[in-house]
Amino acid sequence: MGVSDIGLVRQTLLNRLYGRTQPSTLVGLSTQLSSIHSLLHRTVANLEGNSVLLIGPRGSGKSTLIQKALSLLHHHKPQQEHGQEQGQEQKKTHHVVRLSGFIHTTDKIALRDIARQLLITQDLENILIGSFSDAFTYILQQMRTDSSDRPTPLVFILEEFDLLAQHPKQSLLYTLFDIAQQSQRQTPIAVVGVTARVDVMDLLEKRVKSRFSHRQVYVQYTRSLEEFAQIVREALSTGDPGFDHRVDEVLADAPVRAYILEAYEFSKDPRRALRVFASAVARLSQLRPALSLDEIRESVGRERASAKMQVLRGISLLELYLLVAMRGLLGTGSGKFNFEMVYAEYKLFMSRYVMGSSGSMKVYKKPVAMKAFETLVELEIVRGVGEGNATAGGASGRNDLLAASGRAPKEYRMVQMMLEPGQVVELVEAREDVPAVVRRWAQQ
Amino acid sequence: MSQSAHRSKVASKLDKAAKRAQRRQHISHDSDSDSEVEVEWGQKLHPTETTNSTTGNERRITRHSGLSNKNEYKSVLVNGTEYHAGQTIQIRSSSSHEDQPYLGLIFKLWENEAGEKQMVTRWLLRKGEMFLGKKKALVEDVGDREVLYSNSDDLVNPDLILGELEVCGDKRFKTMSVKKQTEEVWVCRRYFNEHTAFVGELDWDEFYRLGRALDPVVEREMFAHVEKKKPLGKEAATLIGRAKVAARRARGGAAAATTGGSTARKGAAGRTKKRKADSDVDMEDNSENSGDEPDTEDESFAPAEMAPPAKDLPTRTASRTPARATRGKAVPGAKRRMRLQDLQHPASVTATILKRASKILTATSSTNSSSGKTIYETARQRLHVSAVPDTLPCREDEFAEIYGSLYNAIEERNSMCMYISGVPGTGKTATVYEVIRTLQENSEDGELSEFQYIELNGMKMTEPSQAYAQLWQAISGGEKATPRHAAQLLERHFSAPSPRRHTYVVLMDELDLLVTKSQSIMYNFFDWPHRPHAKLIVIAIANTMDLPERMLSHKVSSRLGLTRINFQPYTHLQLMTIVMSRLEGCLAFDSDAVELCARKISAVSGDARRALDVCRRAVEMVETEAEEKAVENDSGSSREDLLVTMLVIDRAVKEMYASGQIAFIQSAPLQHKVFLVALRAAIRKAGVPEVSLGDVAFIHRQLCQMHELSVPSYEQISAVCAQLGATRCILTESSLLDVHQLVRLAIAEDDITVALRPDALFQKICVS
Repeated sequence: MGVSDIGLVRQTLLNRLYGRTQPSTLVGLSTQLSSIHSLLHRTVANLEGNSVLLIGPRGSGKSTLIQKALSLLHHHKPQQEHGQEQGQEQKKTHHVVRLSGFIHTTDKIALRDIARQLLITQDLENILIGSFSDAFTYILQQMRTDSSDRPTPLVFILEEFDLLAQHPKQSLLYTLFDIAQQSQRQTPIAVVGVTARVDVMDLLEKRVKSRFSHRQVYVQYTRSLEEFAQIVREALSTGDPGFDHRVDEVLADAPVRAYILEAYEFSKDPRRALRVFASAVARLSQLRPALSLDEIRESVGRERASAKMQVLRGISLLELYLLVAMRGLLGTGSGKFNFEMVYAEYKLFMSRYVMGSSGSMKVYKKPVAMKAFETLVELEIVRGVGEGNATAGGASGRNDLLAASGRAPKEYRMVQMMLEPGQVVELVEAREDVPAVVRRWAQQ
Repeated sequence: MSQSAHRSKVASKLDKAAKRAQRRQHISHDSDSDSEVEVEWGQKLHPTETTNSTTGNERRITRHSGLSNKNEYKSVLVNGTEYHAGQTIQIRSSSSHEDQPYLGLIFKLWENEAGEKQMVTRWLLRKGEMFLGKKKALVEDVGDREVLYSNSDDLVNPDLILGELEVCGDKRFKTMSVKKQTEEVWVCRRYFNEHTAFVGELDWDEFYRLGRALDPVVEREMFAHVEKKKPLGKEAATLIGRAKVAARRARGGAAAATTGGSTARKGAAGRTKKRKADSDVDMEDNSENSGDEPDTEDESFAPAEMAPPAKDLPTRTASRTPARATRGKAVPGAKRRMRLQDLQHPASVTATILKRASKILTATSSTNSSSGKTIYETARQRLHVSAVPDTLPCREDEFAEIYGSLYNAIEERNSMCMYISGVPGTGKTATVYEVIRTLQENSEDGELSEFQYIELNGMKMTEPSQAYAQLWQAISGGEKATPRHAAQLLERHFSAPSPRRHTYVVLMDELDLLVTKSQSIMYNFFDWPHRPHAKLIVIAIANTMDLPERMLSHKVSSRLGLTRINFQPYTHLQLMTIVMSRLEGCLAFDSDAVELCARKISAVSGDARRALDVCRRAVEMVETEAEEKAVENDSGSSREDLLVTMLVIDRAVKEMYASGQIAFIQSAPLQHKVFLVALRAAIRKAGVPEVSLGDVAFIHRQLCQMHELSVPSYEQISAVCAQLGATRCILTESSLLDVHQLVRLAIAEDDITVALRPDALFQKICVS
């Protein structure tokens, strides 16, 4: 394996790991692929308008599927035009427009991007003043004047379709579906909506719904661990026997296998399983042409580690005592408390167990404890009641509490602990510098 | 005549009241107009004289209600200047975008019962003021200072008169100085019949000097075609609509008969019934001809003449007119003749339809022969929602009603509002398009007056007030204005007389989106048709039947009027007919399959789009099946044997309406399933639909411990929760709340049970 080779391998693998390129084969999605492909093919070849929704959970391979279907369309092209247009400038059989609900948050932004993707620059500012439908029709007209007799079909890929459905009046979707269902004379378009939400049909307004063809293609996670492992393996294979052998070795390693099993049990998302290989792949070089198992094990360890526990590992003993005190309060009431209550609990414990016996433990004064408490608030281990709701706009009635607690002195503001009781115990167990009394206290 | 006499009696009774009203009107006018205009009557026309002089245009005048011959005047005094009937005048123009005054000729002056001074003006049309549609070439050579004498007239308030107008004939015009030619004097060489777009030569000087404009005989000769344009009764118009539908259907009859199955037979039966209705009309017609009308001109109504296409009509009527003009007195059988004329329409209409039909037929046959498509491809193509059918089956009644009303309104130059409602996919817009298309054909054939069709769609506007701007743009021919300005311009446009007016047909699709808080847009759109000069027809389409009652204030719904048409969702028989009519001659379907599809869809929504989509999907399924088979057998011959059967339809319907939830749960990762089960258990335990993530996590970990699964950490559980939340299987609060966030199931509990039943592990978990 030469210098350039390993560089190439590294680049190919990284592109795959980060989703920039698609794996060469799709595992377990052949029926979905064929239905999407035949639909797109009919739009491109027979100039018929179509619309379809591709629904599947995150990481189930929706985008990969579409990418595959589109590349298959491109493969068809040379066959069709081989004889006639060899010498001439090759006309594109279709154009692809990609929109995403995350990026195109308003119709106007979407429109601007559609124009950009279709390379229309003329009068752009002017057409953007009007309604979406007008502007869109204008864009389609522009497309027609470009191509002479045969209209060039357009393929619209709408990622995060559910977010696009939340635009006011859904005029973008209405326009697209309307043209798709009556596009025999105009430019034929295919609309492919991609979403993770299973209830997406309920989001559509009734007249938009009526115009949508109700074709739904469901993409599901793989059904077996073998398939899942195969996907992971496909993503890492390069075609070089030596390298692939090493990949097999790495995948056979117990911690790595355990990690892949965990990824399978928890999300079935291949990207999650592949994440651990990224750093090892990135370090491939001529000097180290094989994947380093240690590297991978290390990143598996990092992946599995709990972020919260990592943070808590370094807190001071006083802060830990306060957490234990809070845990004690959890059993008594509604799970909400303020600093005064926590400090009282702490003092009670100290007076009962510590003061009498050894005296080696010091009872910290209130201001000191307050400081420790604030550190916990900063770490967001402890949160003010209702703060989360203020951003989420969630359940009602809580905002009043927030307002009230906002005005109160900080000692009396109601807070919640963001830990389960079990986690506190775990934390105490993990520390070696905790006195035995406190251990007992925590386990009560 | 007795009618008008009676009316005059009433008028004299109301004389006092009228005077009072006149005074009131004066006041209101003063406040309206910029400068005070004093209008006084001049010489009164002698009653007896009136009777004679008006017989000719009697019908036309009675169209303007409230006219009484007794109160006619010869002249009117505006600001002290006297203007006589028959004189050419300048009239203040109403719209701001034209500074030139309108040109006209005083045709008639009278006072109505309310004491308001009324004037009928006959317009002198300048360049660009004629609406000709495709016949534009006829008058392209109109000079800058040339006017055409037309038979388009309008009710104009006398206080709009600006002054005299000098119009002269061609000969005199040539002798004038250049300055006069370009600045003061207008020349009139020709006359223009608005209804037929006919242009004829006219010696203006003599015509004007002798006051021929008011001479009914001359009038008749010149604008003879008006006589033909007898407005139809509503029933007659609807009849035409039906005839039209019948004619359209007759065309496809033969092909349908071969499709077989109970539906086709039913359809055919319906068709023959329609045809029978059509021939009934003809028969009635014939009997009238042979019967009580021994008048000379009735020969032109001979049955043989019923057949020729509409093009022949103008010439025929032209040849008939002299006889009619010389007769000059009311004929006792006039009523009967009117009906005869009404019935004449269906024949011509049928002719146009047949003409078009043959055109379409040749077109389709040529496409059929040219392509070697499989039956599946043809079926798929025909079933596509975008394939515009030749006729709209099962909407004949609605078509007839809409067509009839619109035809009448356009013909009579009336205004009207119409409200069409129905759930999506019931053919509202398609039917209206069809009507408009037919009307446009009619007017191209010269059978109907010109009209301009404007389409507004609530869904395609950024905001409701955009409707004004779009309408104004369409009316003014591309002028752009802000919505507010456009509203003002439109207001002025519709409330003032103008020679540039032809009928506008405005279609307002997705009306419910134009509802604003003040409802001013809808108020205006429905109010304008009620203005005397508007000639505006508004067709409003919306999804909800009770929109006027539910969302509109009374003042708006009152203006909307009573012309309401509701499109019922299609029944299964109708859906069947729709699908069958598209599949005529294409043998890809089992007839039971179509019925099943129709029944399934009609049970859910009655949406025709859905039915077509299901069928199309079914064809695709069969097509792939057939291809696979062909590959297996390795022989192309057995390819076309597969039909779309009930089973396939069932599969297609299931595919379209299936929610993927059960399959989704089944394919979900193990821990997701455990989480769902834990959530269900937590909800049952708590007795409330929402539980906190902490509680669920606790149960989740317990379950895992009990069944020897790997016990997840709290972080992992909250990641699972977030993932499920993204697919909306569960609803969650913001993840900032961590273990305290409330979680709720968004899918049915039973779905979880059903989905997990096959799994042995979860059977155990669920039991415990």
